[in-house]
Amino acid sequence: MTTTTATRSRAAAPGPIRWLAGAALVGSLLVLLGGADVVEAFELFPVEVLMIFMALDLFTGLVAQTGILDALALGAARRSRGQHRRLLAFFAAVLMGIGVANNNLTSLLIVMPPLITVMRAMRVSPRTIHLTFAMLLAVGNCAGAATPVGDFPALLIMAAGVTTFTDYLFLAFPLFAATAAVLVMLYRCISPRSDTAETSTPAMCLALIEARHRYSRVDVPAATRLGAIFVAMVLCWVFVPPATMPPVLISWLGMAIGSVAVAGRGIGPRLTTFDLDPALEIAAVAFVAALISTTGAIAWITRAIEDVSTTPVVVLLLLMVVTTAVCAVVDAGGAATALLPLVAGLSAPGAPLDDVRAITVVAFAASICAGSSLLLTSATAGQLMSAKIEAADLLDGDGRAVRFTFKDYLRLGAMNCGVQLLIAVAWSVTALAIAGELL
Amino acid sequence: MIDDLAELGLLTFHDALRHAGASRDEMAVHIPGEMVEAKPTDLVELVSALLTRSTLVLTSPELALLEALATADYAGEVVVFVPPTLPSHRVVSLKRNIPAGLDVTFCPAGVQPPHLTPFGSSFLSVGIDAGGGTTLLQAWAASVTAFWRGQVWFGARCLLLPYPVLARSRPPGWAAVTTSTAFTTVLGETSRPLSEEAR
Repeated sequence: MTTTTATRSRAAAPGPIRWLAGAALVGSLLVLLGGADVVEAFELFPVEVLMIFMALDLFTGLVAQTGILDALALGAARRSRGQHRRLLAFFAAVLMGIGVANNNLTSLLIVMPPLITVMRAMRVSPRTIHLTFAMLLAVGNCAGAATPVGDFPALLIMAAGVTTFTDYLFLAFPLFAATAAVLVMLYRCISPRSDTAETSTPAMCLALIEARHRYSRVDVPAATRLGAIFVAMVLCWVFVPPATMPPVLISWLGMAIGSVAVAGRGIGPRLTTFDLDPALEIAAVAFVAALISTTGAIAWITRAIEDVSTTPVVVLLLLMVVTTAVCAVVDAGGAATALLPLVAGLSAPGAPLDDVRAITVVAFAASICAGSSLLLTSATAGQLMSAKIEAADLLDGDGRAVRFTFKDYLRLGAMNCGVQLLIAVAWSVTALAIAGELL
Repeated sequence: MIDDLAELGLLTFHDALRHAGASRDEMAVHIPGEMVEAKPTDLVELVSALLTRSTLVLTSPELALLEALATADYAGEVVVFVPPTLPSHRVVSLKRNIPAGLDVTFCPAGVQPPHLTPFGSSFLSVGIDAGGGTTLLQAWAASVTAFWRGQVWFGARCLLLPYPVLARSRPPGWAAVTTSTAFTTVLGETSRPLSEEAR
């Protein structure tokens, strides 16, 4: 017991400090050697992403206090019958269902607490934890790109007016749903068939988690009120123009109304215990991404691609590769913002992709999706996931804290990105061929 | 799994693993091996002698005991000392997992339960007879008992021995205490008052 406690104390030490120090170092190099503009970077810094994350984290805290996430965890544990491989499909389906109408941060903040509860009870190995969350990160990216109201890049694409709601939905949803399904099957194949640390068997894990939640009751009125408020938030995100009411305002308004609505039931936002670590880590990476955006490298790449070829398939494939690479280095929102003018230019009247604008936009979204899945730092959701896993106090069989680091995700990220990009390329070439615009 | 034992208590932990078909070796890592295949005494009957107490102080979480008290319609207050080694998320699930109808207060380590008087109250621990006048308790329960006994608490200290076995091994996380010193009453296979104080 003493050993375990000591190990936990060591592992819990300085998560965000490392990120902030790393960001300061990389930022200094970018300013000194790359010509990055700090003032411009602060203007590009996505404050609204941090604010949305904080509001949604507090809102999820309210939902957690109703007991509904525990019920979901218990349901998942029963459904999986203690087999972690069954969990993959279950939580991927839940994430896909939530993610098509929400940004990745919201989706993961809803899905992660019950999943962590189940994985903690099952005491799976660190490898299985890495596999599970790597799959969820990629599926979350697919879910966010599957509809025009999913993640921020999709919203940006819609806001830019380069495609219509129906065109995007009709083309993108089957592609991303199929990609998510392929990823789930792939991860099921590479996951170990049986994996529990210590000497636990799945039946023992299930019996213990059921005993731990034997008398946990869902506060149905509170959960219903918060559910209704969440639906209202989603509808506002979808139908109210950002210029009229920004998404960040909707998030905080929803959190405030939710707090008031359930205050009478002894549920309230846990402001004093709010975990700042994920917010600081996200801020560190977002600042570096903003600095990179100011170096002019992206603008140079966009000009270069226009000079290479005018053949639709070549231009489209180049666009996809460049978008994937840029998105992997910068974040998804930053890449979408930076490269959208290029997409608009390449699909403008008389441009190489003029007649296949809808296909181009979906291929662009698929590339952003693939790039977001390459590195843990490529998407805000990845940083959130890493921070949440570190804070979750998951232990391996030896009592050591399980972490999900940049290095842990690297190989899985390459696989995620490769699979997503391959499917996207195959889809794009097929779509161009069907449209008769291949060459 | 040591956290499961600390959160659920010996009886529920043992019951859950037994029904899940855990092997003797798997269970003996965490609980004395002699009780692996043993069946506990009817707890509702065992706690019937305590129902007149206005407050029962559990030295460690014990879900099965709470269930027995709820079944016996216990109307008093139950105070549970929460082990300091229990992670925060487990404390949350511990506090949510209470049978309906019971008035339960959870007391963190180092905090004195409010309104606790020796009159009509009793400390309550679940242990396993280890022979030679000693009892095995979970380490946290033994610490609480040792701290309160004779220094802060002069009231009743009751030991429940639900398993009719004699432990011959002491797994990690368990501590041996001298039964007659640590407790004033033993309820179990051989219920017997140990001192005048118990009356």
